[in-house]
Order: sequence, then structure tokens, then C-alpha cells
Amino acid sequence: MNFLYIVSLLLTLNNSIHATSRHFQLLDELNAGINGADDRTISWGLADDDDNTLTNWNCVIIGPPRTNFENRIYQLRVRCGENYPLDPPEVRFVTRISLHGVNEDSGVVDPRSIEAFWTKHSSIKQLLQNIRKWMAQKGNSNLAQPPEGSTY
Amino acid sequence: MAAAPEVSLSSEHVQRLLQCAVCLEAFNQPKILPCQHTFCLSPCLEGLVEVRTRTLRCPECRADHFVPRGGPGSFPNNLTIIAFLELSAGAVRREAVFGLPEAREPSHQSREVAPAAGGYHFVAEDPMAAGGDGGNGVFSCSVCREERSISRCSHCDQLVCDECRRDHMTQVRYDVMRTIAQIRRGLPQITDQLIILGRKEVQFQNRCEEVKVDISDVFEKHVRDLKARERALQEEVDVFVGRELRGLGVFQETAQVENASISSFCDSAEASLSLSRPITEGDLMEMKRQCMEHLETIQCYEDGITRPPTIKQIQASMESPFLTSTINNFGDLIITSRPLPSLETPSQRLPSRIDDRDLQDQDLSPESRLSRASVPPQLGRPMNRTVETIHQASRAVSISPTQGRRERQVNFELDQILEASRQPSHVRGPNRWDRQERRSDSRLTGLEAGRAPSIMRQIRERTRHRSLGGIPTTRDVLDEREESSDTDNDLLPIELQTELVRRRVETEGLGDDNERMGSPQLEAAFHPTPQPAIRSYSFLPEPLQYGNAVTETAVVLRSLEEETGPQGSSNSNTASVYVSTPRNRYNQKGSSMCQFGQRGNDLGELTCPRGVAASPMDDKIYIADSNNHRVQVFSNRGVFVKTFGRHGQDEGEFDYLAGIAVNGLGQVIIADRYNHRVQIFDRNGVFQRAFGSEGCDPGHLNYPWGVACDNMGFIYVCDKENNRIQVFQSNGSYVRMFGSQGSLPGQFVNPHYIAVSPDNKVYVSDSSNHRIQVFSLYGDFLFSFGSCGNLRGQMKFPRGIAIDHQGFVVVADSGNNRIQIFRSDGRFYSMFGSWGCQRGHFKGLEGIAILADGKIVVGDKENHCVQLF
Amino acid sequence: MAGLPRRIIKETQRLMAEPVSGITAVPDEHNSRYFHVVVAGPSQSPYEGGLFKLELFLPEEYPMSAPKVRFMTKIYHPNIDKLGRICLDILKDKWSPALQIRTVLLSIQALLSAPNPDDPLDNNVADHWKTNEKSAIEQARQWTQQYAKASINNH
Repeated sequence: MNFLYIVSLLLTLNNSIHATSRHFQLLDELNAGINGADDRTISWGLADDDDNTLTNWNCVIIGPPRTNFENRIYQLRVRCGENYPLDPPEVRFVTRISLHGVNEDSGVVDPRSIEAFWTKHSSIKQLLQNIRKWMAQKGNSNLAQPPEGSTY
Repeated sequence: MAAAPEVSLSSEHVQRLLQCAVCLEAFNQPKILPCQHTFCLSPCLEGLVEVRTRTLRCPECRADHFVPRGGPGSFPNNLTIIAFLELSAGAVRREAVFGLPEAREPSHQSREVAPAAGGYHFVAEDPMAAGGDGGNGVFSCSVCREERSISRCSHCDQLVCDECRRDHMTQVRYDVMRTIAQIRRGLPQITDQLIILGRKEVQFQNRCEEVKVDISDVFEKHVRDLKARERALQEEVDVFVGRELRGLGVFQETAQVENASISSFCDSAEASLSLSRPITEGDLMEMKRQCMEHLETIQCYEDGITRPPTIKQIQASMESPFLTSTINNFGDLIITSRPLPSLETPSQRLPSRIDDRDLQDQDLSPESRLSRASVPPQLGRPMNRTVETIHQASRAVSISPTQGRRERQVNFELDQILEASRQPSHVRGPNRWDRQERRSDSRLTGLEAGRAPSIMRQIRERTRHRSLGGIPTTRDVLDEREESSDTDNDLLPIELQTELVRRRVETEGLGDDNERMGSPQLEAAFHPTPQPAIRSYSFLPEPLQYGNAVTETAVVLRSLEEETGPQGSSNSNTASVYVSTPRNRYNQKGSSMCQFGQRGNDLGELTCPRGVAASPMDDKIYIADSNNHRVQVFSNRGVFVKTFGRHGQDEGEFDYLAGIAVNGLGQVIIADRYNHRVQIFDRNGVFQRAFGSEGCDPGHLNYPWGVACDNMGFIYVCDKENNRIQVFQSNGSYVRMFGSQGSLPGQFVNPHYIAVSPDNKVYVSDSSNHRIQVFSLYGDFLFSFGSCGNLRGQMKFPRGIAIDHQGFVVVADSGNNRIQIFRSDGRFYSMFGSWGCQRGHFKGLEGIAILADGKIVVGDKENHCVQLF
Repeated sequence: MAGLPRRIIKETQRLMAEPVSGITAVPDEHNSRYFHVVVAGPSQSPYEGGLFKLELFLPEEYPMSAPKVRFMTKIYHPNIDKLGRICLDILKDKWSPALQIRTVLLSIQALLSAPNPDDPLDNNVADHWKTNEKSAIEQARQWTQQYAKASINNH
């Protein structure tokens, strides 16, 4: 009975901690990230391999061709909160970039532009693909870029 | 299925026995698998079918079963369970352990019988449920639910009343009729196929006729060639006879004159003596002197001092096991049921390479043909003309694949040598003999493909010299062989020979380059004597004297062997020539010996250095200072020497240059990335020429990145955004290209850097596919290595690539910020480096080069410096 | 609970009605496919005395595909990695629809009793286990003390 009591205590404490599918979705995304996207233009992985909350992710976008981003390697930090994937992740560029919707001083991607496309079925892969699409859009593709490789 | 451990008749246990282990419900249409386990048909068994393999794994015992053609429904019913359910349903049901309220809802009990071929739906209630509702064992019709005399429907195995059964049968009838109509509609397909088959047959016969014509064309051509050779040899004999006869004639005339003058002297002297006329003493003495003279002359004849010129021996040497075996095995019919993949690629490449040289050949007189064959191929067309012609021919005769239908395809492959080299593991008898006979030769020439033509020429020249003075007798040939086998090379192991020649190539330096530029005079000057190892074969009469086609085939044999060497029959080549321990101690590298450059645009400062190159002439380091749009040159210790170039689009100006290479002449080749062109500078940094412009046609470039040169002076360019490699002559004229976008072997996604190995293999860093691909000089895919990851031998976005003189491959693994070293066959050897901005750390690796002393030059783009290891 | 297959309902009810000793699984109040699981460390194992939290999720295809299970409590075990992923054949290729949540959890409990360092998920732990089993077991015991007990108080 003691066991059951402790367990019930544990379970009640657990119930509201996070969105229930969060961990398993992120584990799936982690597995998918090992293989990378089909065209190898983006990649993602855990920032810390031991982080069992699966919160912080390191991502890379290779700038799309025929733009000023071409071939540059952009590193991003993605933070998946406790309510992921219901709430979109927070995204920040580590590599300096000049791109609409990205704060020039901090590299933080405007949450509104992420919310614009984010659904509870979205993934980090789709997030990165969307950002890469922005780079290729008119008005972005010709932006003068900071020196390659510089970071925030 | 949770079977009761003890035999128990408790309703709970009975209930569990009647429950499917998958859906945890009472069985619905229970089917028994070959392993004797029973499950519901739908959805349990249906959900378990592996559609691709048509198998099903038993959830209980994991036995795999083949699913019958009719689907899992064709497994036999478990009649025992059905009967049990029917009998005991009512009683059991009331005590159902999991008697949830939902369980009684009819929606869970009634199931849809899977529609058969037609479209009707026959909704039937589970007999068990029906029994449950009746409660007294009298069954009701599962359709109209009325209790009448019912029987089992033979079509769908349900209990129904006669009326419903009649209706049902009418439906089945319509269904059958509909199916028959459907079959009728399908019949024309068979007739269509018959017509198509007839057409195919005609096509096929025509094809075979064409192949026959092609065969005779080829053979006629070769017969013509042989005839021409025959004429040439005969003419040569005529010339020889004429000259020898002239020599004899001269001697004859002299002898006749002497004969006449001596006899007339005898006559007149005798006459004057016999007339007993007084002769002055002086005259007598003069006569005596003349007598002595003539006596001497005659003595000369007697002693053999004066004698007619020796008649030179002449004989035709026509022994050629090579030729005989070639003729015996010449041509091959390839019969496959699908298109030949090996023939597709060359024939796709062909349109740009078809030329009329073959036609020209036939117009030439035998003499000029002979001399033509001895002239080395021009720079743009290195020895591959036979390959080309063969490809042309094979394209002409290969039967194009026909849509959809499998048809036997006849293919006439023109040259079994070519074929043998494509399938190196399968070498036929005569060929093998031949190959062994000349193995060392072909390896020697193979190693330095650029020299093959010149060797051929030397051989030819020697042979011709000989034939002017008399064709060498067998004895001569034997002597030559013995002599040469006494000299060093033949006794040495093959590896050493190769090594020797390679060293010779290295030391010859400038001479070789001139030769590559195709200047015969210079070449003659630099090669006064042929190499002994080569000479030992140079008098073998077999392949070299039988006219164009055969000799050229021999050349092709060599070049192809050289290409396929590491993969194919001479696989030992790699192992023996390229020793497994490098002279360059890669496993002791890792600490930076020298670091130079820092961010900025002053002299000696770098901003995003990309390509680096080591000049083979003076061991200087050339750096593509990309964001400063200039080239900077440093000594091999990192001391600034000079710079050239600036931002712009004119000659000698750059826009974010990337790859850089220095060829054997000291020319600097630069990929001018944003200008979509390649520029060439001389060793002093003076602009020489530029070629390429934006586009995707052959010869056009789209963000070219890495460049490399082979030892014949050809320029290889990574045409990055076009996902291909292009090859140019050193004068900038387009030669060929290979690769397309994709991740299959031979395809690229953003190829970045390129290098040519000492054994003439082309290594490409296929960056976004995270691998290195290796090709022959002609773009045939050989093998690839590396995959995405950070383990040993894996790589992420490989960039720079360089190959040392032993064939070890140094790769800039930019995504992992480390340098990896591989053996020439792609096996991992060692690695060093990590992310950071200290010495020995990297941020954004780009180009790699190797100095003469083995130091690795690394361009570190984001640390804006160059490091030596 | 709309759309929830009857099999899941049945399994849930049976789990609640006939709990397995040392294992509790409670469905989430918002998502019936998600279970909060607590497994007690088996006796005579280094995990004895610990209570390990797991999460279990039944994917859309269940029971045709395996449930997803993960340890939330840190545990030192050669077949469980730092992210809590479990290397267990019945969760992967050996899954069979005849298995149930109950059997899966029993298997996990058995895995705690009998670690299998020859089929490791975490190489470091497995190496430790193989080279020095005693010290590895001690480590596991220590982690159990540190994480599997403290979690009750910390949360």
C-alpha cells in the first residue's frame, strides 16, 4: 500500500508537466536528424547528448544557391519548450546573418514569423526548411551579408 | 491468449479461450494459421499482412506464413471455435469478464463482410451475437433478423433465411455477369499485345539485320586496314630491293671498268714488249709500276678486300599471337533482356565527341597512316579515340530498349578488350595470356599515361631505323631481349620498376611538361634514349607493326588497364605499388608547425582563404584569398612572397575566387567563382587566358569551385552548381564533362574540390553527399568512400582534398573540423584537428595542399589563416 | 475518448483492475494513449528500492506497431541510454500484436533484473559492466539512491 501511495503521489505530480507526446516526437526527430534531410542542406541534433529533457538543439542550414547566403554554413540554436510541439520552439541564429525576421543584434528569429506556419504537427526539420525558404525569397536573397563565419 | 494454467470450466476461462489475442474481443471469423494459432480475420489478421512480401507473422509464435492468393481470408476457418461460440455464446456472454456497456452495442459486433469482386455489401451479424439475442439456441437470420428456417450461405458463410438467400444469390448473379463483362472488356489487351508482339518481331529481325551489316562494315574496315598494311610492307620491301640492287650495280660497274682497263693494259704492254722495239728505261719502269698496281688490285679481289657488298637478308616477320588471338576473339555479341547500362553513359556523352577522323584515316595513304599512328595524340584527345570509335560503333549497333516489353536485345560489342576492361574480373583466355606477357609494360606506361604516345613513337622510330637497314632477324630480337633482361629492370619486382619510373618522372620535371605540350622536337631532345625497360619490348614485332587499328587497340589496352587497375584484374597493383605505411608520417601530425595570415587586406593578411596549392616547381604556397579577391604567394615556411589580382571582372581580376592549382609548368589555374570562369596565369602571375562563362551548357560554368590538373596538363573543374566535373585543355578548350545532380554513384550534390592522384585517378569531394568519389581520367566511376557522420572515415561536408605521391588522400572534413587521411583505396588511415581558433584547431576548412616535404597546407576560412602540419 | 480502439480501453481497464505487482500504469487524463508508468526496481537487483518513472505512448497503429516507452528517471543500465531510450527487442523488430502494455512493462522490469551488456545501447555503461561488473553494479545502486529515490522529494 505504501508503494501505491507513493506512486499515486508521483503520478499526480507528473500529470501536468508537459505535453504528452513531446518526448517521443523529439526522440523521433532526433533519429531523423541522424540521417539528415534528403538534400543534406539542413541538419539538427541535440546540443547536449546527455540532455534527457531534449530541450536544446544545434542546427545547421546551408545557404541556398543563387543567393547571398550561398554555401555558407549557418548554425542555429533551437529550444523546444515543455509544451513543444504545441508551442513553437524558440530559434536563434548563432552565425551572424542578415535576414528579415531575424533580430540583427541577437540573432533571435521573430517568434511571430515562426508561429505563422507552426502547427502541432510541425517539426524542427520543417522549421529549418522554412527558414531556408525565407533565405531564397525575394527581398532576402540579395541582402548584404556579414562576413562569413562571424557569430553573435 | 491467456490460457488458464489449470483446466477450469469457469466461464471466465472459457471466455478467454474464445477471445482473439490481438483485438481482445470474442473471435470474429476466426481463422486458423498453419501454426495452429487462431485470430480474427478482420481487422486483426488483415492488419498483419506484410503486403510487400505477402507474408504474415503469427503474433503468438512469430512464425512467418505465406499469405494465400485470396488474402488472409483464405486461411481455414477454425470450425471448433465457431461452433463453440455458437453453442456457448449466450451463457458465456452474460458473465463476460470485461462486460463493458459498450461491448453490447451492436456497432461493435456487426462486421462488414469484405466486398467481393462486385460492389454489394452484405451486412451480417455475428452468429454469436445472434445467438445471444435469441437466447434459446434458435437462430435468426442475420439479415432480416426474423427467425425462419435458415441455412448457411455457401458464398459468404453466414446463416441466412431462404428469402434473404435468394436475394443474395441474385446479387451474386449480377456480380458474376458484371465480372464477365469486365473480362470481355479486357480481352482486347491480349490482342493488342499480340499485335505489338508481331511488330516487335519485325523490329527485332530488322535489328539483327542491322547488326549483321554493322559487323560486316567493321570487318571490311579492318580488312581494308590490313590490306593497306600489306601494301605498305610490300612497298617497303620494294624500296629495300631497289636500294640494295643499286649498290650491287655500282660495284658491278666498277668491277667491269677495272676488268676492261686491266686487260687493255695487259694487251698494250704485251704488244709493246713483243715488238722488240727499244723501250726506254723510263717507259719500262712505268710499265712495271703499273703492273704492280694492277697486281695489287687483283690481289685485293683475291684476298676479298674488294668484294661485292654483302646481300642483306630479308624476311617477313609475321608471327603475332596477339593478333591471332585478337582476331579469334574479335567482336562479341551481347545478348541481354534489358538495356546495357555500361553502354548508355558513353553513348549519351557521344554527340559532342563524334568527329570525322575515322573517315580521314581511310583517305590517307599507308605511309601517312603509319606516321600518323606514331605521332602522339594531340593534347585534347588523349589516346581515347579507339574508345570513342568503339563507343560510336556500339551505339550504332546496340538495340534500343523497347517500351515496356521485355525483348531480347542483341548487341555487338566491337572490342573485347574494352569489354574485358569493363568486367575486369572475367578475363578470357587469350587475352589473359597477352596481358601477362606485357604486364610490366602496360603498367609502366599506364602509370604515366601521358608518356604512352611518346614511347610508342620511340618504338616506332627504332623499328623504322631497323627496317631501313634490314628487318631484325629473330636472332636480333632474342639478343635484344637477353640484353635488356640483363639490364636491371626486368629482374626487379614489378613494384620496384613502377617505383623507378615514377621517380624518373618526378626528377624529369620540365622535360616532361614540354613533352606534354606536344612539341615533338623538344621531346626528342629530352628523350635521347628510350628507357631500357621499355626497349625490352620495343622490338616485339607483334602488335606494333600491323597497322593502325591493332596498334591503337594496344594503346587503349594500356590506358584502360591503368584506369581499372585498382578495381579490376590487376588489383594487386594497389596493394603492391601503394605501400600501406606512408612515408609522410600522418599519424604523427596534429600539431600545427606553422601558422600564418590573419584577418585583413594588407599584404600577407587573409580574409577567408579558400583554395590552397603547392607549386611543384618551387614549392611555394599559393592561396586564394577569396574575400580580398587576390592570390597571395608564400614560401613553404610561410613568408610572404608576392600577390596578384584584384576585385573586378576584367582579365586578371577576381570575384570571390575559390579553387587554385599550379601545374607542372608553374602556371596558376584559378576558379574565379562569381565570374563563372577559370583564369590561367603564368609563374610570374601574369594573366595568360580565361575561359568559361555562366551557364549550364558544356564549357559553361556555374560557380566553379575546385580546380586540378593531371600530369598531361588537362584542367579539371568542379562546376559546383551544375553538379558536374568539366575537363578542359590547358588552352581552355572544352574536352568533356561527367556527373549530374543526385546521390547515386557518379552523381554529385555540390562537388567542391578535386584532385588527381599519381596513378591518374580523379578524387572529388562530393560535399553535400558527404563522400569522396573516385573516377578515371575519363570520368568512369570507380568507387567512393565516406558517409555522413563524425566517426572515423565518416565526414560532413568534405571540402579540400589533396593526394600525396604515394596516393594517400588527405581530406578536409569541414563539418567535423578535422583532417582525415585515407589510403588510396578509401580505407581510413588517420585524422587530427578539432573545432576552435587555436593552432591545430579549425573553423571552416577549405583547401588542402601537400608540400614537397610532405607538410599538409590547410586553408582555414573562418580563422582567416593557413596552417602547416 | 472518441476513436480510441476497444483494445486500448480493455487493456487499460484490465491494468487498473488487475495491477501487476511493482508496476503501475495510469493513462493521462488528457490523452488516453499516453500512460504514466512507475516501475519498482526488482528485488536483488541494484535497482532495488528505487521507483523509476517511465512514459509509455501507444501510437496510432497500435497494436500493429509497438508502444513507445522511455525512462524518465535517470538509470545506470547498459540497455538504457542517457535519454532514457530502452534497447529491448520486443519494442522494435520483435514486437507482436499479441503483446500488451502489461507484457511490455513486465519485460522492462525483467530487463532491470537481468542487464544484457552484450547488446548495449550505452557503450560506456556496457563496457563498464563487462570490464568491472562489481563496480558497475555499485554505480547503478548509487544512481538508484540518488535519482530514483530523490525524485519523490524533489518534485
